[in-house]
Amino acid sequence: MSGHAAAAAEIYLRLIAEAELRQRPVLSGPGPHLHRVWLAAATLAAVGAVGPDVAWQVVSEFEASAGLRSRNIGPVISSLRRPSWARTGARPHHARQYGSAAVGARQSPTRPEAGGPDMPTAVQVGARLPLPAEREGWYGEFCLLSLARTGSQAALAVAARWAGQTRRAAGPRPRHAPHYEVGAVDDRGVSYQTSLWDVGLEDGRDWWDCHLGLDPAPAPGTRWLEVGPGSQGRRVRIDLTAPPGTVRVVTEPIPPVSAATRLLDQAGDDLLGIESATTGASAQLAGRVRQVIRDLIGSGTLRADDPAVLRLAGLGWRLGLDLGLGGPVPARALPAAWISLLADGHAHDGRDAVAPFAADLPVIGGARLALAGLRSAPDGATLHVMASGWEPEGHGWLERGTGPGDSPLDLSLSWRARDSTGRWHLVTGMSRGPAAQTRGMIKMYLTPPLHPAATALDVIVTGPDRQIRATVPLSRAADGSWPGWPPRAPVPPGLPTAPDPGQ
Amino acid sequence: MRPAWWAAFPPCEARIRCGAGEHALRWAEGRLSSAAHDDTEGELVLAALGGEKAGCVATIEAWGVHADDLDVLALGPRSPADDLAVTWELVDELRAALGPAARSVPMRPGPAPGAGRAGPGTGSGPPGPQPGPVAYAAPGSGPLRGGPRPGARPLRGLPARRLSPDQERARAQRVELLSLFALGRPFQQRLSAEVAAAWSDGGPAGAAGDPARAQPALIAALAGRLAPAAGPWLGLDPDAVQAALHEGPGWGTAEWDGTGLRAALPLSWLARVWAPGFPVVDGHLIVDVVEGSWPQVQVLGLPAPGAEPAVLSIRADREHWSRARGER
Repeated sequence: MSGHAAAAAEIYLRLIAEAELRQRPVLSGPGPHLHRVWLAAATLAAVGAVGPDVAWQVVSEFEASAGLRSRNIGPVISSLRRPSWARTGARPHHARQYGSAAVGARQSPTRPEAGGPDMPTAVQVGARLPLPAEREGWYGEFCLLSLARTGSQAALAVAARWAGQTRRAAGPRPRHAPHYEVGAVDDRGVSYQTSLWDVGLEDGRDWWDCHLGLDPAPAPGTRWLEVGPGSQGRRVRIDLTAPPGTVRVVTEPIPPVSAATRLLDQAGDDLLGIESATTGASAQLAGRVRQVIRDLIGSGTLRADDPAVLRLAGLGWRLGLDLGLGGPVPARALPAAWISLLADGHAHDGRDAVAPFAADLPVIGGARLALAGLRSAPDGATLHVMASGWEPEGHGWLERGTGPGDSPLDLSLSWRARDSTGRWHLVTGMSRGPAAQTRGMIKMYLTPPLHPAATALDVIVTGPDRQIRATVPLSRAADGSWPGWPPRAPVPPGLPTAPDPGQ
Repeated sequence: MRPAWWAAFPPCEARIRCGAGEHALRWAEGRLSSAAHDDTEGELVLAALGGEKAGCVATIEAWGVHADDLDVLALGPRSPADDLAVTWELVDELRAALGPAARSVPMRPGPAPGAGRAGPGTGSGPPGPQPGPVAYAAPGSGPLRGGPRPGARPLRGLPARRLSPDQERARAQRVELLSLFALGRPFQQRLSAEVAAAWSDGGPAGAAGDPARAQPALIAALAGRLAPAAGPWLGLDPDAVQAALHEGPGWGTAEWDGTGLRAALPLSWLARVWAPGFPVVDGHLIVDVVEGSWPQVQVLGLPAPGAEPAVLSIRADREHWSRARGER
């Protein structure tokens, strides 16, 4: 971004602030305000059109000015508090890649050294640990998918559920996840504390996708790890020296793509993801997307006839949304993923199954990533990833509207997946927990569900100048389970069994 | 010779508490002073050596600090209808809430002597042509010494978190600026004019950093003040007014582009035309001052976009400027 272009974008943003101020806005109370100026600033900062310091300054001055005119003096002072993402030194991955001085996202404080101890690596586990009965006779189980670790952290990707109950007349199934405490020990006799993190809502769901953090992380040279005890003293041994699985990883260079283009493509993904969950829901976002397009064009960041603008407008047309410009575009002008989503977005045919796999990906955009398994469900799938040097800042910003205290949207990496039947999957959400033990562990929610006939999944990570495609196996085994799915735990005679996840 | 940027401003005064008494601060000909402190610089030197800084002196010092502060334009008034809710009570409350760091400029105003006090913000625009300066005294009473006025309450919504030294400094400067705004609308206009004048010729002397980086803020400052005046002049929504900074000789341009007004004016327009309160007079968009001084000046006025500017003589009548007698 040249100095002239950055100045033009800043002028655009400041003129929005002036126009808004003429409307005599009232910013009630303390806390974040998703006003027009903030949203424009977030858009322009995300694509590096203005630096985060400039974005913050304009927002701060606007809020202070609004406060002075509405007799709400709080923002006059509180707006001086510079958020962390606007402080000197915060630089996004993509801005560095493009050699731009502008900034759009926060650099992870944990950026690793090349080949250093923060390089995440994963090992496939694929074992089920039945747990003793807890409340009301309900007993659960942990499906241990994969172990992901760096030199300082380690966590197991887990799919947990209540598997059955020991008393037929017991109370209803607990609404929370099984949390029977287990531990671990390694081949050297070192003991590990484990804690279940990132469980999510206690809403009585069938499965909880979560992470079992290990403390400490296994030292280099550790050969195996046993996790347990579970029901009847059962333990799961994890071979840390196991060779990599049958994951094929391909890295391909791609033509440089501007951050603004990536933002609009991400907006298209978000619209489709939301539409997949609820028909018509994307209409609620049309105004916001229209605003994003207007801000990118108005600030001179993109031309109105930029292909990214046209294809997003074309997508809007197909979804019945008025995005302010454009109209029908031929299918060939739309990404294959969007065409697939338009056809299969509402599918509800995914299998209840898990796929334990492990794949260490090459460095991309400064980030180091390891894939650590997946759980499939009828309406989607959850992919576990361990990341070092990258955090999914601002993901879902379009829907939620990233707050002023949050970092701007990070466009340095984008994620999609395609299964072996040709069905594409978008990442409609990312979740990471606050626990230090499981730092870097991310759950990515894929929509629509994996096709029931899928035998493999391409996980596609796109950075500023290259794309990684990791093909992980999903093929069903003869017994109806996916590779790595362990033999089912024995159930005490006379007790009901939980449904087979592979069915 | 072109008149000074302050030529169209009348003097104005405000009374503030200073030590045990109260003194008048007087702004005239682009300068803030206090008759009670004729050696302000000497007093500042003494204060730097550990002496007590008088309220008047601190205010004059603060004025100088903010005379090229772009925050003045970012936060200050845009039009006569644009009132800032800054009162001395508010400044006191901020100081109470924010602690000693925000009290770098102790200048709580004193009571206005006698009757006829006018509060800040109540006297919009410059005063009318009267003999001598017009007083704009801040309301309220009570000593500053020892902190804010009794009963000042912490403000809701202010962050209680620890701030960095830079943030503390920024906060103190913000409160200091608000205290200057609290002197009243005439002072807000003059301070805005002073900042605009400081940035009119390539940036203030000794400005840190690249003055070009201030361009977006200056363009926004111009646009934010031109639009509320030029929009109604043409019967347009102010959003239909586009402004750019004119550099070089001449007053600039103002054209109708089919959908709205596209104007390029020098930043000095803010100091010379907008701040004294005559951006539009008698159906003319005033674009420059060519001669004279308050209360009567000759200006260049556009009867319509794209037209040649006419030389008009205008005269102040209290807060209102109109064509001088015999001009029509």
